[in-house]
Amino acid sequence: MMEEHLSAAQLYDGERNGHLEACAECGRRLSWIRVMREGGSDEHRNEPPDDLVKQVVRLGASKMRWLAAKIVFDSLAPRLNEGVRDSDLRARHLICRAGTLDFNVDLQRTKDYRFQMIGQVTAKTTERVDGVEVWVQFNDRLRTTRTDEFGEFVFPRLPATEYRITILLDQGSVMLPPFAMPGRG
Amino acid sequence: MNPPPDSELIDACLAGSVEAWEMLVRKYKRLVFSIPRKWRLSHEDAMEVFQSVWLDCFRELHSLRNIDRLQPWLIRIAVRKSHRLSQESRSLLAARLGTPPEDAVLDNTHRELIRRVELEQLVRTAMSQLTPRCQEVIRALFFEDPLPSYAALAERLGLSGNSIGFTRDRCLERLGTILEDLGYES
Repeated sequence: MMEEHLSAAQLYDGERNGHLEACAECGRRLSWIRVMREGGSDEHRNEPPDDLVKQVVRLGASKMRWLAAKIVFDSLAPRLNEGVRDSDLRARHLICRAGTLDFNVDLQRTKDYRFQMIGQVTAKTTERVDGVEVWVQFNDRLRTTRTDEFGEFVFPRLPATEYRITILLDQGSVMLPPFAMPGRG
Repeated sequence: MNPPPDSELIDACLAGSVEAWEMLVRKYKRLVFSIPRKWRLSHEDAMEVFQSVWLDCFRELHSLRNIDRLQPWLIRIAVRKSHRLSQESRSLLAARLGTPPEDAVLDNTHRELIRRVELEQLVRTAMSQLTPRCQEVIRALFFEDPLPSYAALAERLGLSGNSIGFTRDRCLERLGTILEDLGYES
């Protein structure tokens, strides 16, 4: 019975006495209090900003449609002439397609051996391509930006590695096939 | 009321339920965000880890439907990304200061942080299974700073001042039972 043991208030206020040593029930309740204190004390710091949560929820917009774009052009696709090896790539141009949307992606090496990615979303229909969120993942990092009024986006100073681009459109998220830029990271 | 298990939510996501995806995100949002914070990353880096983990989760939903528990998977991915970012920051700082970078392998401190993250999620899950009134009482008791007075808490809950103690004991008892049902051993 609750009355026979220390009340939660007594336990909470840290009033410990001989009863606590001998009473398994009180010890049990004290352990709940400790776990709540430890497990809840940081909770105000663990709350992500609401806008951030909404952004992530938007990944699943439009009935969780997850459109996979296909590469329709890749400047690295043509085979090199026999005996020619290009291990120092300076640029790569890709065009991907998903439904009525095209995604142009251009990677250019900069002076500091990093890469600048310039892309454009274009639509064959009247779909809006301005203000669209674009996410690029590489090496466990993530950069985000939005397209401008022409559907263009830029990611400066990327390392040479594999990139995964995700575009968050109203009609569903579009995933471009992963592609790499080999070279010095 | 108990929320649906993760496997059901993942199945619902894969069947096109936007609501199920939102439930998953809201269930684990604090868990995921707490990891880069515990790794002492900046707010901006913590936001980056948060987005990146959920993007991976969204991308991997098909393969996640068969795993028993989503929580350890989320922890593993968030720890990996946080750790990597933390290492990058240390290397940059070391290069700037001209000192050798500190070894940033997962050590006992990090393992303790992971234990803490799991404990926090246990508390959240237990809290979510309490009635709204009990949630408010427990939240006021353990999470609010400063602690509200009994009179203020009674007024907020529409209770008489005399019954706060009884309500609190009953809620704590219920919470303890839930914690034990979830596997917590006192």
